Amino acid sequence: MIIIGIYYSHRLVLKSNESEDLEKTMNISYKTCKSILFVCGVFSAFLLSGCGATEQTTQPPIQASECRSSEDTSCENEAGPDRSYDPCRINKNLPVCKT
Amino acid sequence: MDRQEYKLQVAEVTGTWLAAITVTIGGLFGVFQYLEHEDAVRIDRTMAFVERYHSDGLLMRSRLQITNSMTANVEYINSVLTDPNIKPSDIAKKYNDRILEIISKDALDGPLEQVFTFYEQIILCRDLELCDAMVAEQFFDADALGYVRTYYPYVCSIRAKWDYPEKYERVIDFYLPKAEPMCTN
Repeated sequence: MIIIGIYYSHRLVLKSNESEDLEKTMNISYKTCKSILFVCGVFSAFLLSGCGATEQTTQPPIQASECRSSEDTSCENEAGPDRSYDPCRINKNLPVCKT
Repeated sequence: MDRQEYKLQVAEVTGTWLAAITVTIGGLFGVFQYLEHEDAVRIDRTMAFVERYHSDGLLMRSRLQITNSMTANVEYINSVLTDPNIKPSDIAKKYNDRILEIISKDALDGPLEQVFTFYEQIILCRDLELCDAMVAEQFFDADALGYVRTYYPYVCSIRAKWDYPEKYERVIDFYLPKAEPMCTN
């Protein structure tokens, strides 16, 4: 966008040097500036709105091949918080259960 | 100031503001990009741990050995925890003895060392902000809490044998921050 703006400004300056009709050039410059400002604003808003829009998936898909039939755990429980043995579920009097 | 000069000034001011806004937005965009890149690098580091955790290596074999032992002994362990004749004040000692007996019988010292050392490493990575805490929590914390609570007698045993009270302190402090002193038996 900056390069396009510079290019058009440069062309207008050259035009104004060559042409006698400075007011016409200024009118073009004024309109161009407004247009560029508008396009820049829209484009920037579009870019900024995209920042962080991609969801960060922290949980991988569970693959059936990762299940081992020899274990007592199942794939359904593997992604959940209660997938391993915890003595505190049986008896809360252990010292490690006071959390 | 005639109309022409006024337009010229407006164009100059607009151009200046346009440049300033563009630079600012460009800078902000760069900062966002940098932060996203940092997050991506942290997630990649964490996923390297996840791959190691699930790969067919020593760690996986250790976990499998522990799981098989637990599957075979779960009723034996529960019989202590659910025994109505054992007083609440004695339960920790009885549980300690039973877990150490199983560890000795199934030769779980090596596998447990592998697993606890791995958890210690991932906690260190999180503490140093080299790994993503949320990803690590999703992949490891449920498993790790179960292992730590189940096999804490192993930690106490190692601490006593090696005269090394800080052994696995990072893991214990992380997963059991408010637990009572556990190695008193």
